[in-house]
Amino acid sequence: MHPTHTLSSNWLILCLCIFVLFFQLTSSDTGKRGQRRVVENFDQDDDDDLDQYYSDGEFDLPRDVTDNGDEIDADIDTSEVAWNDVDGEDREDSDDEDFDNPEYSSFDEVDIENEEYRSSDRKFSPDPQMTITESKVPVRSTLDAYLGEMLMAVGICVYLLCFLIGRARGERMITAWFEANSDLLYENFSLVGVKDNEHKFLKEREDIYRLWCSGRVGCDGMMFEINLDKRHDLISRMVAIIKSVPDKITITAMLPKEETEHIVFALSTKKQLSRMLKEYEDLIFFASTKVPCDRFGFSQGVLVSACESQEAISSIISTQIAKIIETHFDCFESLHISDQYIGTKADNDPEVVTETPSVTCRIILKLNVPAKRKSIGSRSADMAKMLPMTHLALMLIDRVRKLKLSKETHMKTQKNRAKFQEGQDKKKNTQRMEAAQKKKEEKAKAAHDALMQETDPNKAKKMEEKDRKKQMKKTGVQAKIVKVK
Amino acid sequence: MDGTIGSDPRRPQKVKTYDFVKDPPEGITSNDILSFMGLIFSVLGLLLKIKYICWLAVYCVMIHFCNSSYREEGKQTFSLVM
Repeated sequence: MHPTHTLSSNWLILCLCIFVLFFQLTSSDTGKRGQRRVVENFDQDDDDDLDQYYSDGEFDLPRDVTDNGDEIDADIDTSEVAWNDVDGEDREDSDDEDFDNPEYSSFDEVDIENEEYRSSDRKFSPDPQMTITESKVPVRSTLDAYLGEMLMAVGICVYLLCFLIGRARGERMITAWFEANSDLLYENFSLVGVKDNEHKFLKEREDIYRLWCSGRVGCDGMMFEINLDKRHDLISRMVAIIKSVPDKITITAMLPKEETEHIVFALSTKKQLSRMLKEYEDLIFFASTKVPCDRFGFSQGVLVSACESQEAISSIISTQIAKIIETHFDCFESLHISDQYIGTKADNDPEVVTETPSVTCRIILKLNVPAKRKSIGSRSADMAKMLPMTHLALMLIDRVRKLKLSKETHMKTQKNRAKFQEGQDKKKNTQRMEAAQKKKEEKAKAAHDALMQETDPNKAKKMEEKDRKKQMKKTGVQAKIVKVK
Repeated sequence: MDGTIGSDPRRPQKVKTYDFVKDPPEGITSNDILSFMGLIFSVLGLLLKIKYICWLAVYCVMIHFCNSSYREEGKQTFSLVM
C-alpha cells in the first residue's frame, strides 16, 4: 500500500510556506524603504528639534563650548585662534612637509582673500534674506511600491484556481467512468478497487488514477490505469491549446502462466505497430512479421497485426471482437497479448535496472477517450461510453483462456521460447560477469590507492606482502604442481 | 453483450493484491527538473538578492507540488518549499 499523507496537511504546509516567503520577500527590500523612511520623516513636520534654533528670522546655531564649560562668543575674532591639527599639534610649529606642499599653500591664500571666510567679519547668524521653505517631496503611494508583488500573488492565485477547477473536473470524469463500469466489474471480480478505502481508485497523481480488480477465472487481476489530460496544471492547459493530449485508458490483464497457451500477438495501426515492434522485447523476438487484418472484417489497410502464429490470431480475433473494435475504432489504440512479456527496452535498461526482468502473461489494451466536444459534461459522458471496451477486455481474457494450439504449432512455439530463454540467460550471465569484473577492478584500485597513500613504510611493506601472497595463492597451486613434476 | 459465459466468473479464493511499490522507476521527469530549478533559483535569489528570482523559485516549487506524485514523501516537498 502507498504511504499516505493527507492532502489537507500538504495544502496547509504550502499556504504557510507561501505566506512566510511573501512576508520575507516584501520585508527584505530595504533600499527603497530606507529612502521612504527618510522622506516620511521629513514630511511629518517633526521639526521640533529645529524650532529651538530658529527665531526672529535668524538661525542661531548652538554655540560651541570650551573644555572649561564656557561658551565661545560668536563675535570673537577667530583669526588669532591657532588652527590645530587633529592630533593637537600646532600647525605653525609642525615640521610636516605637507605644510610646505604647494598644493596646500594656496588654501590659506584663498581663505584670506575671500571675504566670506574672513574671521573678523564672521558671524554665526545666516544671511537674513535666506529663508527655509517647506518643500513637498514626492512620495510614491504604497500600492505602487508593491505592484510587482501583487502581480506575482495574482499569478499564484490564478494557478491555484486552475488547479482546483482542473482537479474537480478530473474527479468528475473518473466518477462518471466508474459509475458506468462498476456493475460490470462487480459482476466479474470479487475484489474491485482498494480494500477499506472509500475511493476505489488509487490516485497516483492529479492526472493518473489506478483501479485494481482481482478474483476472476482465467485472470490473476486486471489493472485499469486512467491517464487524464493535465487539467490541473495551467501551463499544460496553455500547451494544450496548441497541441491537445487525449485522455488515455490502459487495461492490463495479468494471466496465470500455467493456464495460458503460447501466444505473442499485437494489433494496431501501421505507425503505432512499427513503434511497438521497436520497443517491446517479446515482439522483437517472436512477432517481427506484419500481417494485414483485412480478413477479420477491418477496413482495408487500417489495422495490422504482428504475430507468432496465424492460428492464434484466428482463434483470438472473433467476428464479435472485430465488430467491437471496428465500431469503436476512434477509441482503439493498440492490443498486445503475450505470454512472454518482459516490458520495453527502456524498462530493462541494465544501467538503470539491476534485477533481471520476470516473464509474465499479459493482455494490454490501450484506449484513447475520444474528444469530440470540450465541455466537461460531454467529457464525462465520453468516459462513460468506454464501457464496451471493458467488455472487450473481458472477452479477450475468456478467448485467451480457451485457446488451444495444434501440436505442431505448440512444438514450434516451444522451440522459440527455449531460444528466447537462452538469450535471456546469456544476457543475465554477461551482466553478472561485467558487474563482478567491475567490482574486482574497484577493489584493486582501492587497495592500490590505499597503498600509495600509506606513509608508514612498515605498514606499506606489510600490505605489499599481503598482496603478493594473494597473487601467489591464485597462481601458487599450479606452480607447486609444476615443481612436483 | 456480456463478457461472462454461463456461470459466475468470480473466484474469491483467487484474489491477489497488486504490489504498487514494484512498479518500474520512471527516471528523470519534468517534475524533478522543476524542483531542481526551484532550488537553483532560490539559491541565486538569496545570493544575488534579486526578489524576482525568488518569486520564480516560488512558482517552480508550487508547480512541482501541484504535479507531484502521491508516492513522494511530504518531507521532501516541505524541505524544497522551505
